[in-house]
Amino acid sequence: MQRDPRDLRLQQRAQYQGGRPVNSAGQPGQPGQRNPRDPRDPRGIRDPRAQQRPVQRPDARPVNRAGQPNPNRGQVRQDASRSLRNVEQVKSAAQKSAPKMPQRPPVRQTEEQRLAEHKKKIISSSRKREHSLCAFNTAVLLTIFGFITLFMTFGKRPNAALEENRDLAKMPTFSWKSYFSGEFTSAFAEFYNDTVPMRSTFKTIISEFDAKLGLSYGGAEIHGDLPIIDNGDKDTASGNTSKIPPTANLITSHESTKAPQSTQSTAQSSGSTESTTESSSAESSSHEQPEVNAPDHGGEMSGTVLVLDDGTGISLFGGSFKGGEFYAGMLNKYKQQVGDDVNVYSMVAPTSGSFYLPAKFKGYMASEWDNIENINSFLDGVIPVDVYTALSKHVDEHIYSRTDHHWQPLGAYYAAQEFARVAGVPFAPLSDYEAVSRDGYVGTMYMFSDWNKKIRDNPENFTYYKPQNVYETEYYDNNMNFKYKSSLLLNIDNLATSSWYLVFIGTDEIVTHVTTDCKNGRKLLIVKDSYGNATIPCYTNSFEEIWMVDMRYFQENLADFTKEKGITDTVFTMCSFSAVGGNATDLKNMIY
Amino acid sequence: MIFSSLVFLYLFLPLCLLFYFLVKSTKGKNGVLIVFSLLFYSWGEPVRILFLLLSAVVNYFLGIGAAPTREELKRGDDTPSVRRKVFLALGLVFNIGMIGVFKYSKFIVTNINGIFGASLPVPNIEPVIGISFYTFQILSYVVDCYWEKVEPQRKFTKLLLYISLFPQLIAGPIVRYSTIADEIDNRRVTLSDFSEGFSRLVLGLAKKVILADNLFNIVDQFFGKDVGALTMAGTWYSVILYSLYIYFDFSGYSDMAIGMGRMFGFHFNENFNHPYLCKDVTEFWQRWHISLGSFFRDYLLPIPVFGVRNKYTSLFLVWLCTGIWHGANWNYIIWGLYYGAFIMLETAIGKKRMAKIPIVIRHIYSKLVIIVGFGIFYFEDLGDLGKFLRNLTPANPNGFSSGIEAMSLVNNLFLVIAAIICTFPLLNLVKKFSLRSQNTKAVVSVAGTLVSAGLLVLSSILLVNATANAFLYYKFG
Repeated sequence: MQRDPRDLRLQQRAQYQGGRPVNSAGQPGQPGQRNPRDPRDPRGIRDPRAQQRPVQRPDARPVNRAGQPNPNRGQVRQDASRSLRNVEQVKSAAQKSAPKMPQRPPVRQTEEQRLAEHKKKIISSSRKREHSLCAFNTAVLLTIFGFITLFMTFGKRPNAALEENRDLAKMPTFSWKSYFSGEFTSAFAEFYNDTVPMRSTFKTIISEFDAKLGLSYGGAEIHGDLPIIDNGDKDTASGNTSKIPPTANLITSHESTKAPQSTQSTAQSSGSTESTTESSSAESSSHEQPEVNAPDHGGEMSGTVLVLDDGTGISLFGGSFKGGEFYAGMLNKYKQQVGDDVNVYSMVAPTSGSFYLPAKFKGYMASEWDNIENINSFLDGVIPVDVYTALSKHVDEHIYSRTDHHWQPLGAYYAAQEFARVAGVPFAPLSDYEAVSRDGYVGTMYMFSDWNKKIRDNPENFTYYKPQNVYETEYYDNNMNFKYKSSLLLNIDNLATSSWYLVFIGTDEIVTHVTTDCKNGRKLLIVKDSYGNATIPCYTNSFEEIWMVDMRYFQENLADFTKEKGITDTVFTMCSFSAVGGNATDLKNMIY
Repeated sequence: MIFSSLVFLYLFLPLCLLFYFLVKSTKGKNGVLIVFSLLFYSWGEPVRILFLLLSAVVNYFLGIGAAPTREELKRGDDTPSVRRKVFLALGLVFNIGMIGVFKYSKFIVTNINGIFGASLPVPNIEPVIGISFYTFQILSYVVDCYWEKVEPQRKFTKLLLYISLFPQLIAGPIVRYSTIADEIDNRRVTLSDFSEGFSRLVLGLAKKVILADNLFNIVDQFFGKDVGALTMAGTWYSVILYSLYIYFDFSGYSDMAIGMGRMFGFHFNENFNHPYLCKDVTEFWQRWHISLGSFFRDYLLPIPVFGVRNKYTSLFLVWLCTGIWHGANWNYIIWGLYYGAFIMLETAIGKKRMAKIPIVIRHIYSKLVIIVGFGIFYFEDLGDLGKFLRNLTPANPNGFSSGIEAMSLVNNLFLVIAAIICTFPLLNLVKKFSLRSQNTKAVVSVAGTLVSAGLLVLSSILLVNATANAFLYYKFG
């Protein structure tokens, strides 16, 4: 139906000038005619607004075209308040007509009066009831609302979340400048939300509520991040592995070529199961994936991790063959830049999922083995260090934290051992270290799991190993400005229980330089994510100097840095997540 | 500031209510609302308040200019004077220009560069939040002044109150000036208004925090990563949940807006009417975002260009505009035209013949169109959109199901069931039931209070986690 807009305007003008009440269908008219509902509808009785508001609704029009909302259906019928008003108008009109009654015959008057009074009584009692119900509703809601407001305003706000290993947001200081830039308001909102009184209690309640949104599915629950497994070009990737075995050669023409021999003897004396004699050529892809049978446990997805019934948190690896290719490309580029004088190694560490994920959850995690193999297949001149196999031989030992996303220092030690073997440098047995052990460790998994109780209630042991030889450590910022001399290992008793992994150098955003008493002319550069931190104490017997930079934060050109410091060996040490994920893209900032 | 945040609910709103009810006169109350609305809008980015004030000032004069003067009224001129036409034209140019510059300039220039190989500098203008909503409101005011549907507001502060009123400022509903013109001067907050408004606020909050946010968490697990890697079942599962999410998110916001409006004595029009009950796509749009649909119906069609006699042309234009309004991106344009196409189809079939189609088929057809439609709505990247559409079909290279969607469904079974049930008009049923007798009414009312109380407590606790989940429609503002 097409309407002439001019008709509409004329009609509107009539409404406007006449000032008569217009009903929602756009027709001026008597109140009594307007409302299709029964004026005695009890819903109309309750609202005292009627007398005050003349109904003027010129906006609604009876246009009914396909595709456009029909006001009659869309608005009038559902607009409860409006229909209420219509009903009320009718009622008020009825009330106004009441004073006319005395003109009627007296007999009927009393009858009608009685009827009216009766009606009035019903109306007033129902109105009273209505009123008290509204009052009850308002009182209850306002009480709760007021209570929460007072609680939020005057409750004691925490300033640190130990379980999350961080200080909570601080109340910002006000300045007009920060207000107009928007900094103040956003900082204030963050402070207000972050420091809710009794925060950790509420977090626990929320995690329990989340768990009740559904049922457990074969013992597993997903509430957080779902790994989407990259199967994209698996075929090509595995094809690559079989066809191009990386054949990078280790350069051993350094001052001390005797080193490799001593390595072997050390390694063997330390009880290593390795018995390779060939340290001058890298492992090729001829090996098989070691089989590891993880003990069976039920589990649930909680936050971003899978939590097993024994309180083990596992980050599910999504994998990315493209990401791996990118990472390998960056390493190849670096190798080209530094040339044959520097050995470049890629040490991609698997995470605990590779060894401790029960078989029934295997489908939820991409294979770290395949992803590492994929990376190795793209490496050109870079020597892969197979720590997967090395670690797989120690799965019965405490090599990964259950409550933290890092490995245990022991796992890092075995990985470092494998690297030392490949690199042909000496390596000290565990017995040469002083073991420091603490119980009660609940690491980052507690936060990643959205405060899962199973993690909290199953703390674990944390043991790290202090090198006993002589070495010195100094720190630089990421632009290579000297910061301070300090110790390599922090005092664990000064750290929060949840952050004991920080015992190694304390932070990622720093450049570490260690000078040791090992005089073999080999100088190591570690480019790493936080997995690398735990490996540095293991090399104090293996290299004369060690530099360690973080792949995410270092600001200098890596090749220039390598040449400037006379580095002989560069190892990229990181977990699989960093190698194939977003962290690897930061390598672009230093390799160009 | 986001309605579903602790700062808003337990700092801003209590203060606002406190001052509002401490002040006795309507004038004073209006003042309180203006101050708090400006505070609300400037929160986070105070600069944008300038756009709002600029818009208010300019449109204040445009409204007066577009309306007939007293003399003109007395004379009863039939055709509007040239002055009024000029002011109307200025109003259209200014307001559409505001949206164009602040919302679409980047998109337009990028596309011109892309299509013609030009290299015009791409303006780096971030969209101003809420601008589409309040500009539409004020545009409707200017046009209404011209059409003599409303008397122009000669008090600037009152017009400012209409534009800036915080419950409806950022994400609708698009309230017409005529709806609240009278209430700006004459309103009284009755107990029943306050009570029902409060319950409505809590209902909207619960929809958002309990249903929408949790639904989105699931959707994000699937759509948030690589849509190309999803299985067919996974793609359908996530897009269905997304359709539920978007309804609860947006209607929850509207509920909160309408509820707060009532707490302050304003009666806004409804914006949703159980859209998923619709029997065809045409009906869906009579039940979904009603204030937007009625805006286009009332203000776009009477314009000669749009109201051309060919109804298909006008339908095309209306749906093109609906699509564009939602965002400066091709997927929204596709989305709008997609709906336009189905509505044209239904118009061509005709109401009577549509009614003859079995109801089950009509329901399945309309739900399919809507659900796939929201998929188009979700993917701003056209490459991802292509992958999404492919993955809905058996051409999906990842197979039918990996089992993970079944696991996700079971894990969230109660949430999904609750969400589906809540798309039905439960409250209307309860209300109908409560009308049986005075006693049932009392029981239902008390039960309603207790449910609201529970929802308020639960939602507030959940808000401790959900600090960053802005309403979806903020981005279309």
